[in-house]
Amino acid sequence: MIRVTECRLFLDSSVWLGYFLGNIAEAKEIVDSEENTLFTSIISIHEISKRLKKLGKTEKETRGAIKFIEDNSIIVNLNRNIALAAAENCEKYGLHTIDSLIYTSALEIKAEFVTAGKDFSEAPKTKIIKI
Amino acid sequence: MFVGTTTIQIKGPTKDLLNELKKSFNSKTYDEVIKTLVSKKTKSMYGSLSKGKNISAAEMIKGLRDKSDRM
Repeated sequence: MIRVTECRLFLDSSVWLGYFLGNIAEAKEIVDSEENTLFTSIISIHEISKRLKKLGKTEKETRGAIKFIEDNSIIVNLNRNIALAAAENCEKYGLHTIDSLIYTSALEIKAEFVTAGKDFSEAPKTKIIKI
Repeated sequence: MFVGTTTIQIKGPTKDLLNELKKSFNSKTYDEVIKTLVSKKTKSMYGSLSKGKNISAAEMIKGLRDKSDRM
């Protein structure tokens, strides 16, 4: 069930993958906590699906994981504002296009961005999980 | 059976979340959003795809995202 709380966390693909594969313990605390309202970029749905297939997970397993994300977080689509702001954030924080589109989506909905990626060290309102 | 409507009071941030969910669910009304929310059930899936080859977190995210832009 999607929890509606004041703590808004926007999860990067790396956090979700770490959750399903059980190799990022902090991801369990974040996702399973009832204190957090979770958000996910539509781009992450693509990335997670692609990566799980590449890791040899079955179609059923991959679909189950995606359904879990859809059931437990709010999927954020791209829009004009995000696209334009992301272009600025590429330069501002040294982010690549996809990183910036996802990160800017988090800023747009005023959520803290949570990632296991190292490329967001300059980006404000970001929690980087050390792996 | 006639199904009437009623008014409920919610805080501003909750209304904002309902608006986000409305877009996310492609719902036409708040009624639909709330029905979808209460019908969803879930339990933890932490580590549910860990069987088979052990993959470290570092290995897992290596090459996950293209780090070169198209232009």
